[in-house]
Amino acid sequence: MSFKALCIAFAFSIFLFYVGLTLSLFYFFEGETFLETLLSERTLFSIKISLLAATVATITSVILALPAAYALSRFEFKGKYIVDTILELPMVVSPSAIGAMLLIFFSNPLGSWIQENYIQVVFTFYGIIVAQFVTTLGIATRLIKASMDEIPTRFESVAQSLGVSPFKVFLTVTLPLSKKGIVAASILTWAKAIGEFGATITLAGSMAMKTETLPIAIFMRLATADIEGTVALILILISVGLFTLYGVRLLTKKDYTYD
Amino acid sequence: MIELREITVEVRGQPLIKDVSLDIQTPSFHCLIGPTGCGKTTLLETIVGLRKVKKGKILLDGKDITHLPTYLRGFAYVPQDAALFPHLTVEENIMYGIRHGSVSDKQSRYKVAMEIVEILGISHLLKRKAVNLSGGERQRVALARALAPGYKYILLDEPLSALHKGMKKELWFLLKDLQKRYNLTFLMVSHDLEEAFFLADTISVMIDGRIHQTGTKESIYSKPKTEEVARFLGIKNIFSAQITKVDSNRVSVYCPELSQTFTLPCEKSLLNNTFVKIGIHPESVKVEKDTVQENGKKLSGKVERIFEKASSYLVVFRPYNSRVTMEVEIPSMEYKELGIGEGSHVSLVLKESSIFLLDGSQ
Repeated sequence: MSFKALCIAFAFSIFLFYVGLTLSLFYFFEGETFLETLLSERTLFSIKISLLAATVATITSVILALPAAYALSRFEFKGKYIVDTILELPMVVSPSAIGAMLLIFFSNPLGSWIQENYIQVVFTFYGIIVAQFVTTLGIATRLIKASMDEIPTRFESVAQSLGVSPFKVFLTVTLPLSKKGIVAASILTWAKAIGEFGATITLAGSMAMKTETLPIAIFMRLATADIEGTVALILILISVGLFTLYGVRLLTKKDYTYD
Repeated sequence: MIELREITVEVRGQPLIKDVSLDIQTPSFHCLIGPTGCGKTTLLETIVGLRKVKKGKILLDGKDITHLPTYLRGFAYVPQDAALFPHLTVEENIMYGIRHGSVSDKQSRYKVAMEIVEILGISHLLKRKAVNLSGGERQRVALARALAPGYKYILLDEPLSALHKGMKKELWFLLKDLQKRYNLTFLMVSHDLEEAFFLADTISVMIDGRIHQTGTKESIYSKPKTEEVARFLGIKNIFSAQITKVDSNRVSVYCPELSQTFTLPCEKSLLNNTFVKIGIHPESVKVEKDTVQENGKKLSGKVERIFEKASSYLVVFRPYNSRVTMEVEIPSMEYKELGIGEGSHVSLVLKESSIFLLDGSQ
């Protein structure tokens, strides 16, 4: 077997592994239960708050990540490497630990003050958003920075030499050139947010019709040994996830390359 | 006028530009030439404001702009690969500075920009996306984009280096025309001697982060100041010599490697018996096919190697009883009439104008 064929075989084996895992769900699949679960008020509520919380968390993460990613990609400043390293914190610390950190924060005097005077976070819908936001912010920044790193700085240099201010250059050159990367990063951030479980259940809890997102609903169904219901919810989550990832593949197809 | 005053620029703690001082008159075409890695692009980027100055000052028309941000400096910059914005059309690229910059009379600038588009012959490209243009088209568009906002100072970083010679020549003429028509000051980085000598009014030669010589192209070519400049210009005929006589504005030097004494003009005060270096222009030497030595004015020897060039021949000549060789460039027609080959015995006639004294006595 040639090296090329061997590598392709590995690529297909990964594909088959995941497809096999998904197909194995159909052992417990019941069409009637699937439809019943999908159309139940509880599931529809879970889908609704999952989509809503993930979207709000993603938009907030991306808005904050954009200038931060630009700074990390373009400028040299003191503490840059510490900031850059901390972006991976949500990846190295488990989501439940992130959730616990948030719970502790909102129990300390500052967190309590915020909750009393501004917004109740713990065990509320806002808690889902905060948990998803904290777990995705670093990833969003890292992904957007990567897309900005790909754009040669000479475009910005030339634009500035034509008398255009750095902020306007950011808006008219950097953002349009990294548009696809930002959209792809947003979709991946959203996919990460919608699948978030550990931090969300720790901070927002698992109250049905209140803070039960799709991943939490799957866990709760499994905990009550409702395998058919679990399978239905997993299939819904997989459909949403694959749809978004396929969207990423389409969007990240490049129109042009930089020399 | 652009004035650089003892500019030092460091990159990762290492000085890449060392105490560079330079005056560029306006309007003019100034070429900054030098070998790869000598710091030409770094100096250009420093003038544009893309690199910080460690020491020294940059003045534009007497105003200190050393610490001004790029967008307030007033230099339009064209990098080597043109850097056309790939998400915009050719027209949007050209009008970018007018549209987004601080141009006061946008309508009249649009008109001038369209006139420049006509001169550069790119009106048929206006609606096309900036990607997928040919190399020559890209450079024309980049040039139009730099000129459109009305800047008088255009900094070009080897913009034609990737083009074939025919295309290069076309753009040389266009650059000269544009410079004259709009009274522009071009500062262009190049390592192409032919290009620099064709375009420039004045030239600076940069070597290892320092400017070794600035002057008119005639002065640079006929009298390279240092051995490094001479070698960069492709002159390999550099020999050690000793001053034997000093008159007012003239010195006699004896070159033991060629067993010849030359009398040369000299503006500096040199002392007798000082060791110096001299250079000999390879194309200013006359070759005669004989072996007779007349009063020491002719240098006799043997042809060792011959290399054919596009329109000339490069002859490697070794004087009798000498360790050194000399390069002589003979136009093709003249070479064919001479009828010499490798091993031929020839004499060289060295005119005073073909010999120059280099700085840095030993």
